[in-house]
Amino acid sequence: MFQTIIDKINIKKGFPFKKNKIYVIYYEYPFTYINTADKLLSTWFDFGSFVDEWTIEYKNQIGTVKAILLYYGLPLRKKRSSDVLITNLEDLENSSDKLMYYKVGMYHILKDFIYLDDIQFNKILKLLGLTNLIKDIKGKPIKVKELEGKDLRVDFSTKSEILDFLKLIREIRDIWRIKI
Amino acid sequence: MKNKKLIPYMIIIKLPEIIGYLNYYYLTLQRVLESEQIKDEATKELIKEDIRFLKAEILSLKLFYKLTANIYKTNNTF
Repeated sequence: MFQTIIDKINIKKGFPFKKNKIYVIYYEYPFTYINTADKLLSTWFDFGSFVDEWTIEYKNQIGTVKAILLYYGLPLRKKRSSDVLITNLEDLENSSDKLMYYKVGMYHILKDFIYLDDIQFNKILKLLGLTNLIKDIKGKPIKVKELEGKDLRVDFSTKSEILDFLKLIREIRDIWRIKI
Repeated sequence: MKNKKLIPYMIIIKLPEIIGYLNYYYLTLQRVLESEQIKDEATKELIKEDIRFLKAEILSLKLFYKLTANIYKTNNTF
């Protein structure tokens, strides 16, 4: 019922986001931006499994988009899964220490980059929004209904700790690729 | 162009530093888990997964270091 109403609103008001496209939502309190997902982001590792349907508001228009939500760079599904360990909004909200959930979630995601052959670390940083200030991301400002009224802020400086971890992952990967 | 003969020595110098950092992350997470600062199971599960990864990586890199050090007849300290 709710979905049908949203679909009707999408058609009537010319909601600019397409149903058959995958978007990426960058969330960093208090900003949220949306952009088309780079092909690399949706094919790397299992980022495809992070695609979820989110209800967004853009210029007073409400609609749904298929998107990867990046919470300070950490991909989040909407709900927890019973069979796979996957970072998600439900667990983040229920965590006793959101900052720790964010950090260990990022380690969990980034560690797998050791095993990928064709990985470009500079591109990862850019696509995950880890080096950019969120305002520099060329996207459209939106509101995500599922995140409204929730206090999900983490200290911005934590990003630099994440960058240190990624640097370490990069070094390990380089070591494993050296032929002695 | 890289001098290939230098690569093993780079490994021997670089590896202990990398293993040291991994140990730091490992011990920090282990401490967080033991301190009961985290109450929810989801975060605990993530921490346990990360610890498993760090432990495996530390062991593999230590073995790799020993192998490289033996091949190139360098004193290994691990």
